[in-house]
Amino acid sequence: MPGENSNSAVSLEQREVEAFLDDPSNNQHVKQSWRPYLEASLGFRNHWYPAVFSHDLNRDEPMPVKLLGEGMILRRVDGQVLAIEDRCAHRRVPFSAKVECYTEDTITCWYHGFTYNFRDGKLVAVLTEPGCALIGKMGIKTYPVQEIQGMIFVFIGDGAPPRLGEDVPPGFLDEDLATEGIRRTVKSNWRLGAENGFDTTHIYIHRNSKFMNTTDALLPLGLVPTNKQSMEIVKGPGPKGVVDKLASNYVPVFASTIDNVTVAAKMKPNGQAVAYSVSIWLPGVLRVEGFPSPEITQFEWYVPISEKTHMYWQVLGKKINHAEDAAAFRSEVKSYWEDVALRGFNDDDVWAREALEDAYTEGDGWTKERLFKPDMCLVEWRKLASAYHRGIQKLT
Amino acid sequence: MQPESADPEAQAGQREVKAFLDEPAKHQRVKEGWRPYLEAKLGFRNHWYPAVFAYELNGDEPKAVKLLGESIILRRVDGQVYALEDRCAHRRVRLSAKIECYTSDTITCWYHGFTYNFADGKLVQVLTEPGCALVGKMGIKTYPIQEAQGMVFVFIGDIEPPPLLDDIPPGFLDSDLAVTGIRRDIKGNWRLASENGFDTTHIYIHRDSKVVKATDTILPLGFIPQDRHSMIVVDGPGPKGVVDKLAANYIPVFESEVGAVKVSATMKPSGKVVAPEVSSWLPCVLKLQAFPTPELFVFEWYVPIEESNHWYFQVLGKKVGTTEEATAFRSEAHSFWADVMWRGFNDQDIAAREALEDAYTDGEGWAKERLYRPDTCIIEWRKLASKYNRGIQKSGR
Repeated sequence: MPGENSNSAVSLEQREVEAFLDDPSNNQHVKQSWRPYLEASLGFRNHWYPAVFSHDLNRDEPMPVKLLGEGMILRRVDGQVLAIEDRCAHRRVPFSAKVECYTEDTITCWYHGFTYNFRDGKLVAVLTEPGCALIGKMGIKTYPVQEIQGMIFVFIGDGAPPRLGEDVPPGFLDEDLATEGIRRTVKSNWRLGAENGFDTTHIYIHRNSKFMNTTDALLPLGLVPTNKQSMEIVKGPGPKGVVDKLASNYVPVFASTIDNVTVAAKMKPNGQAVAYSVSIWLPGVLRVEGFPSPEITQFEWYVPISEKTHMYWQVLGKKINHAEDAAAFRSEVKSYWEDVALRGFNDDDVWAREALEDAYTEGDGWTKERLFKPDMCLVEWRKLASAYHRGIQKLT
Repeated sequence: MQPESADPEAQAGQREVKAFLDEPAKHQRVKEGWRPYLEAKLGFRNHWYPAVFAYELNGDEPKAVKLLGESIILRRVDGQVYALEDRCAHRRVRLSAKIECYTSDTITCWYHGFTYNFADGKLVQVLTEPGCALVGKMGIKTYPIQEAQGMVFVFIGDIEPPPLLDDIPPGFLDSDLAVTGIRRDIKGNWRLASENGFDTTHIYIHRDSKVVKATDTILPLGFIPQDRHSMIVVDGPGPKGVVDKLAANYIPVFESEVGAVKVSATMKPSGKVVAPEVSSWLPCVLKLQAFPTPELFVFEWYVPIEESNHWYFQVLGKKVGTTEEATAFRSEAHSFWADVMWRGFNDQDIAAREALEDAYTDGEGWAKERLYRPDTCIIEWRKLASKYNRGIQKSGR
């Protein structure tokens, strides 16, 4: 992990952000620094994204998925996962409308029998015109794939992909990290998913969650940055992200008042502070260290599906020494944390993102939002994403 | 009420309308007279609209409602009704998505604890950042409110609101008028609802209605204007509307023929002809005198919600002498007229509006309609609304 960035240029930028949050109308130029982010309604191109869990592809059955607006078909061939474009080159229909596979490494279009090889996407037969002149000369797009930590990653882009390690949070690929998780479709733009997760005061919505009622975790109403340089901007080499050290650089708010009414966080006799650091990484993945319990790290991907939906990945990781420990951890996630944290806590987030989707479409949020001081982390994330993404995904 | 308009300009205008109805292709320029009306998909801005009935806000529980595309949250504070924009200024989420009120005169956003006062919309606290610099400096929009006749009216606009009286039909606020009603979310643009109600020949669809069957009311198949000046255009001061004197200036049609087949209105031995007068008022309200029976009044608002639906306020009124009479009337309305009139009669209007919605979207009715002579009233309403509205409501507010 690179050290904290403290050169004077950054400080100047952060002072600008501070001025913007105090008085947006006089500092509108600050918004220029996240213009690319505003265009990325379908995400950033030329990055690695998780597509499915390994266990989703246990047999050789082809599986259609959509990422960043692109339809593709995944299939395990001789143990290796391959990905091809989900469109026949002939009339552009999706194969997934009716999947037909006559051999273990091809797919045949249900419409006119155009048959493609999974490894290179080449047209290998046309069932309706044997000896068709197009065979071997035409093909469809294939996608680079990597399988690791029980997840299948696909590179959405053009040209040679960078290392997967550039596009996941530090530590995620560590060999001694055991992982387990779930994924589900959420009805909001991916950026609203990412921002809700990284937002240090959104935790207000979790105060009465099942997680808070069944564990000894202590959660304040919000976390307010103590100084304007409390964010660490990680610009690489390696993954690019914004790190918020919640434990050291923030003041937790446990009670507030409205007139004479006090609103307080849930206090517990032996309560345990959780989530000592939260960070967000390109192309859109969150890491919460020490959550849902001190020895666990939560990773969340918000992978664009369409402009209005994203695949929400919730993966818990724990450092282990033996294979048995890994199995025990996975079993603990499935039997306990999935209910108490991944649903009993994060369902609040899913609900908030869907409310944000209305706010940022019908409510014109990208133009009319009025961010406040604790949102500095969101501004830093927008700026980082705008500066270091590898391309804006467009619908083709 | 203004006297009948007889000035030369108005007469010239009505002659033009006649020529247009006889031969639209040659008189297309007449349509220029209602161009603003065609733009008003979301209604007219800077007018008063009913939002809810007063009894819907009996406790202090906030209630969300959408009018003219604007999301609003209403709450009764110390007896008085207040209205706030239903969006937090911070991240624009709806406060009503999950209502949190810690005190009787504030609402707190469920997301980050931004707390607003109902009276002035000011930000009074941020629970997640006590002492936030924005407190007292930022706020959300409030709406002027008036409660009258058991209804809560909201002013949607930017100007200093005119008196409520300018935006409701004459007589509605009379102290001896008892009123009661219901509201429903109905499919169809508000203008189609308004035109269906004011249309003097649409009553053809009601010939077998429950009102005709369950009362001694007689309804003709339609009403045809006797002369081209039978409409009174009331252009203020006060409310602006078009009044049709059905009893005085129209010929009722009780029977027609298709070849050798006769089509007749339902006739009754001691039947009463009703509805001597119907009028349509800005911004979107209809008044029927002496309907469904001679001693009753009908008031109907068609308040835009979005472009393709409206709040249908169905209100009955009756002149009463005492509070007991008022109570008896309200009870009669909800036990009898709710079934016979609001459902048994007006459900036919609702079906017609839904059919019109398709006709004026997919069917391009605004461009392709072919109006006929009895539709003069609709044209006069479109012209009046185009001329005297206080602004066109635009989407994206």
